[in-house]
Amino acid sequence: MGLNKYEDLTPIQLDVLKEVGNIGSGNASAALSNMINRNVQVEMPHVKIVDFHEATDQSGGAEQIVAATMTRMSGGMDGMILLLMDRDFVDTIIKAFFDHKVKSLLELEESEISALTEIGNIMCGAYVSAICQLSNVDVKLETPSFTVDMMGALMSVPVIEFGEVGDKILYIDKKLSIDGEKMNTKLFLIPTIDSLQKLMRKLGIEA
Amino acid sequence: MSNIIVNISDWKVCKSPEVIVTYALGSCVGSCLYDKVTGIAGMSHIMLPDSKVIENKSAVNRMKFADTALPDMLAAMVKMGADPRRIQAKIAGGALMFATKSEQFNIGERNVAAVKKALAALKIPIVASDTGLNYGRTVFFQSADGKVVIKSTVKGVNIL
Repeated sequence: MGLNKYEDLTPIQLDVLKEVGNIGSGNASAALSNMINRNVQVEMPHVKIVDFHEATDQSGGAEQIVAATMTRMSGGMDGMILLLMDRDFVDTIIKAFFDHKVKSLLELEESEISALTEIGNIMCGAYVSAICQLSNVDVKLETPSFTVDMMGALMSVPVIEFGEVGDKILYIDKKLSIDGEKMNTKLFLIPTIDSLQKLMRKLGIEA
Repeated sequence: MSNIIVNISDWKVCKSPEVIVTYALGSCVGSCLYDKVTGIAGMSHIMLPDSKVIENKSAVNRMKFADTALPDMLAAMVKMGADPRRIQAKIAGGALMFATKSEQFNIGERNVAAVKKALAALKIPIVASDTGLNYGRTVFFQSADGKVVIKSTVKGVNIL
């Protein structure tokens, strides 16, 4: 039986994805913790299959300004990883790197952008390498690209890219806290449906 | 009076003086169609250029694609009493949110081109636009006067 839409995933497969996300985010947080020398905790990730308008949050929340990195995956798994960083998270990172606060997300300096892009790079790399080890697939990552904009507009990027066939999208997201402080920062792993099928086969859980 | 919200792959029509809004357009395109005389207005938020890529026609979400959403919305406006010969369009969106080297095909650009093509086929002139570049836009469409107010984080407010 093939997987044609994200909605076709069985509860067992969703649980497996959750575990995959859990291992990936554990690794990503450890990498972050190492870089900024702070204690980073992650919540159990959520695996969500949602309507497009839910993913882009067509309400006031869509206009919240966040910093983001987008990293494309290819090779053993196609798709993208989106890291959304809110003001608190950005402040924590910049403080750890440069010992100052940012003026505003819209007025970041070159050096601050490089640091945040590097955080995206390291976290996504750690996330994906955990999945690679688990499933024995080889995933290539592009260098992340960085931007600051409205959350809804950023979330629409994966939605559009994978939106040709269905009206729903699957993502694995996780929240983290640094030194006990909850961050509204999310890491979304968004695999294509073909890659998801391949991942399930590698993990030995076919529909 | 609360605003009428247009979701992603959605369209809505209304009559003066209601306001239609769509939040945080990225590469999607918002098209605002307006008949000045009757005050009938419609806004569509398309995600993708062309429904013809979908083989199974019955599975097509017609509000998602430029080539199907715009004729449908125009028909709804005409049904409400708008005169197609008077209708004019203002469009916004179609940005490239992340510039990466593999973005050979810029979906925002293709969406804008498809909207232009669909409107040309319907003989609706585009009188103003704010498209492309690399930032998100929230679009308010005031059916009282046909004005389109675009808010972005980078450029502030732009009124069409």
